[in-house]
Amino acid sequence: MFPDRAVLRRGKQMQIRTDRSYKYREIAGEYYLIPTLQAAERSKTPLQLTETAAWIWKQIEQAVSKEEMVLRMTEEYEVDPVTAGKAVEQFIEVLLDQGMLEETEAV
Amino acid sequence: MDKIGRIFLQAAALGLDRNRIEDPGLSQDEWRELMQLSADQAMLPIVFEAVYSVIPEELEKEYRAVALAWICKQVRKTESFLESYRKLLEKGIEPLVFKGIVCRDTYDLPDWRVSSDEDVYIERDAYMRFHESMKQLGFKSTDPNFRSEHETIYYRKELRVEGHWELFPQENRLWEKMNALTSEMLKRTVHLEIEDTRILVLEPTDHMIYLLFHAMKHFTLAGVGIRQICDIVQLDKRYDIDWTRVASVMDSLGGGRFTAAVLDACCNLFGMAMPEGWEPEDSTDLIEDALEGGVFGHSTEDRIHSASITAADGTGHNTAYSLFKTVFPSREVMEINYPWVVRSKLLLPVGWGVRLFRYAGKIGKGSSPLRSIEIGKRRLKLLKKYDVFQE
Repeated sequence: MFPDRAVLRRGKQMQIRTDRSYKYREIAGEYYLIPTLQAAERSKTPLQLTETAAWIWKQIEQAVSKEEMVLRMTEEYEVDPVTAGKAVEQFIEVLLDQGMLEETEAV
Repeated sequence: MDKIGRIFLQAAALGLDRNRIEDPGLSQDEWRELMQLSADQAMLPIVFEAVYSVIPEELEKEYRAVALAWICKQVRKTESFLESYRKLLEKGIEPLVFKGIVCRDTYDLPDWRVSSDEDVYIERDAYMRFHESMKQLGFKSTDPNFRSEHETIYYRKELRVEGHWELFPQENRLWEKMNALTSEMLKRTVHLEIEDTRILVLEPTDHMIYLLFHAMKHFTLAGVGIRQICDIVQLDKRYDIDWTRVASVMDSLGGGRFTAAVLDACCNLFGMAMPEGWEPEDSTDLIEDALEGGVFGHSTEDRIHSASITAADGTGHNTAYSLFKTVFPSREVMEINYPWVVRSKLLLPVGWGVRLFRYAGKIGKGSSPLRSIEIGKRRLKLLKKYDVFQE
């Protein structure tokens, strides 16, 4: 679990982590999330990610807090904190909507 | 070695370390030939990793789809296997795992090294508990009446697991010796953590000996593939192998010269350093045979049938018997293309009939019994060159 990592969702502070049934792989210069186990029951089609999306996924896997992630993104991609924050928020939203992140209520 | 074979080996060596090949300037047909060879050797994802930036665009899309499909399937199978293993552990059953996932774990890109199945060993006394548990986990067995003398195959969706109570079949004197030697290995097992799952495995030097046994077994049938050579290179790269012990065991099996040739191939093709105390044995013929044969030597029907001749030689019988075995192969050979024959003793003659009927349909369309015999005889010479079967 990631104690310092929380997002506001449906009015509650939630902790998130990647759904372990999705496996991240970089294949011949492209980035994919591969559904396995229960996720593969729904669809076996791999999800191709952009480089930035792949980068955010890896940060979530490494339990990096949102604040730290935004800071790292400003350095990695030379963008301002507002743009970085939006990119992170938007991608996490997409992943949550697709059921690719597991969330538990923050303690 | 032809141009495509040479480029394949170069790309395979580079792909293993995620390096890329310089544009080899191949025509479209040659690229297809290269990728077909990679598929035959079960190494397409590894080769694609090395060539994707130089392969023509239209072929890049096509082979990316193939590589992606192979890797995704392997990722799903690995997760499914590990989940099943964890459930077996919860039931108090701890199978010994060998080959497949244990080899993949030594690769930088594990899922690029695809496996058709996973192999586990359970002691004979505990086997029925394992068998019942596998059924409870949703696996179906191809041999519910245990007709095979050493293994049962289980299927669940894409995943195939071979459950062994002997590591090798018993119908060949060489394999009998291998079984006798593996009993010592089973006393030295260790644990390996793969994706948060703790699996029971052979100690690395024992696993190396096992891989060499296994390569020798396939060498006596239809052939060793390049991927088997890669597995040996990767295991050596990952662990500190006691090559003196390997020498002692392989020599006791009459496999010293064969092993020296395999090591020579490992050094020449993949840059492995020749272990101390080992003298290289010219591996040119072994490499040519491996390139021609595909993974486990199963590249063509003729070649698979030729295994009947080489396998029969291991039993010490004469040429007439060898030819008889070409027409009526052992269950071990039949299992390669007709896995259902293990379900019942009655199915073996049915399998021979189906095989002869299918084979007759292919005569004149590329396959020929004479070619099988030619390949078998050529491979027998190769076996003799490397002293396999010479005791």
